[in-house]
Amino acid sequence: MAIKALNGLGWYAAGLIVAPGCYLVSSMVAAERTHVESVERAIAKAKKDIRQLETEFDTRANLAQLERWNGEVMRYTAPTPQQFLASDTALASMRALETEGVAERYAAMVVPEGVPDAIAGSAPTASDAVAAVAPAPVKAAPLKAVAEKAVAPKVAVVKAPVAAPVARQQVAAATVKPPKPAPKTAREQAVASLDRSLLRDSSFGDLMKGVRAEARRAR
Amino acid sequence: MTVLVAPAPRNRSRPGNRQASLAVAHVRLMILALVFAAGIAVIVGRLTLLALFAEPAAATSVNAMLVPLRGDLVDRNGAPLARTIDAWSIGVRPDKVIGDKGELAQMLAAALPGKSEADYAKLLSSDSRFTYLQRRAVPELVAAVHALGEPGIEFAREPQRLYPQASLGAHVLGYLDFDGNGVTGMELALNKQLTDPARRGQPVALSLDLRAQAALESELGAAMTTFQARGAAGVILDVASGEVMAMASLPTFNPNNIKGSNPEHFRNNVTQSVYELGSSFKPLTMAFAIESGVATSMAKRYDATVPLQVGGFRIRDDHAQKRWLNIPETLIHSSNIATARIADELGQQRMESMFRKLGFDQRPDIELSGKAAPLWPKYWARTTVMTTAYGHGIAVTPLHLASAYAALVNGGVWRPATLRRIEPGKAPAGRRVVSEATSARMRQLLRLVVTYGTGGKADAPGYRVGGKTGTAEVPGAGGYKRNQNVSTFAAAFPMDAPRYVVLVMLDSPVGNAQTHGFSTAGWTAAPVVNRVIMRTGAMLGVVPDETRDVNVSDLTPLLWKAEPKNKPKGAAAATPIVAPGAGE
Repeated sequence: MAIKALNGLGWYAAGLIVAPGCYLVSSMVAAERTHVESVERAIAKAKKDIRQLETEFDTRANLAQLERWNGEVMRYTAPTPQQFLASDTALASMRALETEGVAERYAAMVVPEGVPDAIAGSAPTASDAVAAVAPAPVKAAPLKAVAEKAVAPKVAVVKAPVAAPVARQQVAAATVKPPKPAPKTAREQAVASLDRSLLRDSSFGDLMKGVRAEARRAR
Repeated sequence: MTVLVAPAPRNRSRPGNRQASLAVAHVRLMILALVFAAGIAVIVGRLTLLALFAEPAAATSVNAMLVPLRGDLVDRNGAPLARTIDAWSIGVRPDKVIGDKGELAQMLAAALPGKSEADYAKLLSSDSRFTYLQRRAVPELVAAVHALGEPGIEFAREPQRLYPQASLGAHVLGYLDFDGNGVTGMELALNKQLTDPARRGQPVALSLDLRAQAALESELGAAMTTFQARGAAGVILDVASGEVMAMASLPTFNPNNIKGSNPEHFRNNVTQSVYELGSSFKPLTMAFAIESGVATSMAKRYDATVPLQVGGFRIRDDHAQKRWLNIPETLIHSSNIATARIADELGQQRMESMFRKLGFDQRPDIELSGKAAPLWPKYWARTTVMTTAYGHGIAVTPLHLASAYAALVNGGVWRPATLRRIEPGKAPAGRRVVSEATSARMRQLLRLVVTYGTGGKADAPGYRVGGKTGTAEVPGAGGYKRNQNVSTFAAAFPMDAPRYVVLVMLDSPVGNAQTHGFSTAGWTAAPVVNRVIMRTGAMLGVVPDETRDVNVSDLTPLLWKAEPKNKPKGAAAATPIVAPGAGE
């Protein structure tokens, strides 16, 4: 009788041990499945984001804009027939810059300048404004350098008035020299800040907002 | 104390009935058990079914996230031309606004400067249920409006069509209406496919090459500005398949911002406008003449000494040579008189049937909607035959002419133009218009026009361009306007094995100092073709080669006192090569 009762209890105990185990397995499977699902969802979301970002990139780098940049900075031109070589022999026999002058016919092949925006089909972009504004701070830097350089000769002038013309020449040289690299840096800066300003006032800021929000979450 | 209550004796079942009621109870119990069993069986059965056959519900939804609401349009290389993105929209429900409406209107006017404060006040006090304040709102704006803290204002992400290249190829792509259905262009032509749930996941490839399109549009735009033209059109056509590589019409519009566009600019000049295209028809007449045997030899000469008087009509030449001209010379000097004489020999029947073969009596063959019907002569008088020979008295779309040129140079097979990408080797069979031999002759003749004739400015070095200028006066009230013309240049390259036809048309260009005041096609449209070919030729797979050309040696002896306009090499020998942009 007691054994029989024990027997029942044994079954009960066995059930008590095995059932949670089974449940554990199934719940683990379920958890894993949800995990996989969430990963899939994340992949899908990432793909969607990639698509959005691609679209944004394509929009920002649309060909009209690239052409504008090319006209302002790069000045790439279409390749000339001499730049295409038919064979290895042609490559071996090529003498760069020794052919007869063809530059006249091709160098003019630059991007349209002075094309009114109304016809080009795009409203004046931020790049127009940036080009006008950005150079100012950059120009200030070389000027400062000039001033500093100019100080030393001035001291010399006080000490020996005879050296004055030389010093003035030096000052002149100092003032003449710096502007040469200046436009380049200004232009580079203009291009850099152009991107920044484009990012700011674009119609794709929602993506940027998403990125910012994501960054916050990651922190 | 306990009270026992027993049922009244009459209600108690008597011992005799007991057996019967027990049986009834059993039966009821049995029925109940069966009902339960059936219920359980149904549930178990359903669970088994689900366990065996049902798919996980999530599996499809994840993939569905990636399928856009409307299919993408891409160019032949896969660059996106139109995409559907999620954009913010701001709307307001006037009946749910709880704050002071006047104040809200003021704040809205500050945040959304599109309308005035009074407009917003009116909008808020109206009894409409929902009104959009702004679609395609930028997130900054959404944040700013959200900061107003008004529960009546709603924000939603809505699918919006975006054209990443903005106005590039706008006439080909078309645009959508408010409900997301195509209105014009390929958006309309492919509307069914783009919205079909089964197919919209796959982007649709158009025949356009984005880079060629950009080059064509930028060059056309530049020319339009330089020559203060009223409009411009251009098309690049693959001669072997009829695929349109680029199609541009200016002025254009931005499909991203339809409301802000001038409806006048929606017109696609390539397919929706017809023009008398002038001398660019002459090669067609020549081809008919060669094909039909009227021009027995290239040396056959026609009298162009004096203007041709037909009835009350007088045909004269712009570059009068005042001598007898043979076939190549007729084209090189673009003689109306000689062409008219050839057409006269051809006769009405043959001219008409050839024009019909080229499809000039029907709307252009392309997917776009709203195509213009050509102005086909109602009555073919003798003068009509003569004038149509040099492109007057018949008006077709520029696309008609481009397709015709493609047929002339590709070996003589006319194929419909298409904006869908055609897999290599799957081009439509087309219909034969002229023979292979005639086509070969036409290639030589068109090349001669560029090397010796009016099309000299189109000679892109290394690309073996051949083509024909066409300057037609614009018909206006009371006859043709002498000072306005439609300048066309129809070209094909490379002429030794033609791949593409390039057609450029400028509507009413004005000559400037650079062109010495000329507004004819040789000075206005031809340079555009030159630059377009130089910029796109290599991209489209034509390798420029200055050592190759179509053989015209059998025709050059026929030219009297002719010298090639662009000497192949060494024209500017003394100038050193300057790196582009090095002058600054």
